[in-house]
Amino acid sequence: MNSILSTQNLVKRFGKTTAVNGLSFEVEQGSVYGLVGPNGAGKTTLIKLLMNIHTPDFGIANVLGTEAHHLSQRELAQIGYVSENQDLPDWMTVEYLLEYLKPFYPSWDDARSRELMDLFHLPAGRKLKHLSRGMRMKAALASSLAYKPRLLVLDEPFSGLDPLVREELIEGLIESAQETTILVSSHDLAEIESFATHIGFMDDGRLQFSEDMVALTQRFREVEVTLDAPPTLPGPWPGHWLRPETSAAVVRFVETRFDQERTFGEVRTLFRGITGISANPMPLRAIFVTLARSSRKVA
Amino acid sequence: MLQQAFHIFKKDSRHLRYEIGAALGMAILFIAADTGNGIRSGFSDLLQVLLPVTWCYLIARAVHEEPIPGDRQFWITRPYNRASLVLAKAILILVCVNLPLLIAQAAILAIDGFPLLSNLGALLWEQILVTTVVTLPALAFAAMTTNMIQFVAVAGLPAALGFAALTPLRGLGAVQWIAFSAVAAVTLAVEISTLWLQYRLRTTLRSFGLAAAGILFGLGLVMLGPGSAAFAIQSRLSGSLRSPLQVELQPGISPVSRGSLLPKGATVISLPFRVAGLPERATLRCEGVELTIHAPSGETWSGQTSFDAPFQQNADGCVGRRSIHPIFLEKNRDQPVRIHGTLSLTVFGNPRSTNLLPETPTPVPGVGQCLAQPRELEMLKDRDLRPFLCAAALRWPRLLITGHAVDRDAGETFSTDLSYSPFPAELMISPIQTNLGLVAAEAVTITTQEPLAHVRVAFDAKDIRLGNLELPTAR
Repeated sequence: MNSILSTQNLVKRFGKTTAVNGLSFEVEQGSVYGLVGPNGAGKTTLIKLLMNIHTPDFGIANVLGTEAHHLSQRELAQIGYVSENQDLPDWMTVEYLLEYLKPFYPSWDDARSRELMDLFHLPAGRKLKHLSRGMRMKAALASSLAYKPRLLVLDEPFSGLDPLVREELIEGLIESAQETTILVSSHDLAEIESFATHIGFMDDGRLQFSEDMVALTQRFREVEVTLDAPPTLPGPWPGHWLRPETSAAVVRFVETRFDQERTFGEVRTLFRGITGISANPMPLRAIFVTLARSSRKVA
Repeated sequence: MLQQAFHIFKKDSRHLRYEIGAALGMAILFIAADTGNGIRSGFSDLLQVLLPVTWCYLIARAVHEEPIPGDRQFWITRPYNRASLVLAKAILILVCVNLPLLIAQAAILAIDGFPLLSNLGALLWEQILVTTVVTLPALAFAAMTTNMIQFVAVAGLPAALGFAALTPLRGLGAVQWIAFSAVAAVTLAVEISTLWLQYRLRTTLRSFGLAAAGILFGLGLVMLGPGSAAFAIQSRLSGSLRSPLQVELQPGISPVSRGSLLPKGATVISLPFRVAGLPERATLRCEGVELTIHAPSGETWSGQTSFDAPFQQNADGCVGRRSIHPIFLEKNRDQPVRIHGTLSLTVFGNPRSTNLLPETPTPVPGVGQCLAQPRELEMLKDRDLRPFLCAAALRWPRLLITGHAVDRDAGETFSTDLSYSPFPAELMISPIQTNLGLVAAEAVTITTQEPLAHVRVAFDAKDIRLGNLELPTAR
């Protein structure tokens, strides 16, 4: 795989808390990688390690072929970073922010900058401190897209934004996705689902899985088994079948390694008196909730 | 790198234009308030406090444009060159602090009749001092904080300690420059290391540790470094006399108490020294004394005089004073004690005299200019005393300066601001230092003598009765 960023056994501790715990993953060039996970999972810390905002206690993070700890001007000129928590120079107007940042980036494109201003309906002469949260986010994104970065890192960009602003942000991202690799962390799974090509699920500082979006949605299915009598759950219950539920003569669970032939075969082996089996695709949100609840249960 | 530094500097100048305007305006006001041959107005004194405060505020604001600590600032993920960032702040300090101060001090000197060319070195040295003691510490502390409240909280304590250290520093008298230079060198090393840690590695905790260690070390140097050690260094740096001096403690010399009687309960002994072996036409200045008193009972008492304590200087010696523990004095007042120790003294020579023109500033070589003033003061009208004033640029000269009548050697000698520093300037915002004296004459002559040697001479006196040395106190 031609990866634009990768980590190997990355560890970051804050006192007694391990925010990132032996995490290894890769982001393929040209992909839109959605990093999802519950609050406190370590997503923001991971991103800050990748951006050299924090230094890892152990392990290596590579970004654009350079160890994150040694990211220089050359690499940073090809990276865009937008975070919900970023402190912007509030006294600057939107226009001056873009004008000020322009000389830092050899690949800055004035035409693209104007396009982004129009696309995001940004008021050129207004100071950043007088902008709404959504507008500030759009200004930050415009200032990170105008130089056509090779890598765009977004930390919770949609958090607290109204649907219209989200739509505009995503529109901007989709436009850029052809030439930019995007790593986006978000709770907003529905939005991520609409444009992510890869997905990683983080919990408790670890990456629970990281894979292609298509493969992910294909391997997760909500399986419903209809029986001729009220069921009792068989034991031992397969570990890759999550959140089993029973009601009347129906058993439901989430299959995490769906393969129709194998899954249905296993169901038939475990249950007697089957009158029907169905496997329904799951939205990303449902997959996320299933995984989060299951991992909480284990913890 | 330079291009990016100027780009950041332009941004900072744009955002801080009002603060920069205030600093520049204050520098202009300072020129107007501080001219007049060192006779300053109260407004000038106020500006001398306000100017450094304004500079520190400006520096902190500029550094906080791109704060170093924290993980939310926008600039750390942008392609900033860290060296350019520091350089941008340095350019701002240079343009908004050093250059205006240099121009203001040069203007004040020029307006007051001091030649600029011969004072250029001192003016530039002054910038180095201001940078080391004011602007670089402000830059370093600002780099360790993210906002003005933090900056005031963090920089306030070292600033207060710095002011508190001025008293023990002044206690070193004319050799205080040695302790000041040591502290300045430590400060500079800590400032540069802190800035390197912050701008290169962004390790604020380590920087705080380093700054705290530096402050403690600097304070230790000032508080614990005795005047005798500083004078010993001064002595090593100076020339030597052809023949050695001899010092005797002579209780026979009548101890003269300066001014009123000592307060009730004070236990002070006088230390009358006679110095032999002085070169011809040389003048002596006693600087300090370390002594140990051995009582017949075997009990001892040790002490040293403050190096800025006034000695009463005589033609062939001097009389010093030292407070002594009352119980020790009481027990040994009439006992024959042994007193031994070391007297630190400076020998001045090569006198040069300049007659002052009536009521016109007269250039005095090595000093600056002196002026015999008219008898305008009511208290002097009926007395044959004429005030005279000497003004020097950027430091008081390392000369013994005496104003006297043309036909007499004795007169008023300026000794309070004397410094043996070899450097061309001392830390001061107002560039002119003045001293005012009185002389019983119509025409005033200024005689300067340069230090020939700084020497430490041992003395040992036996069978001395402390009662004979004790100074009278008020009843």
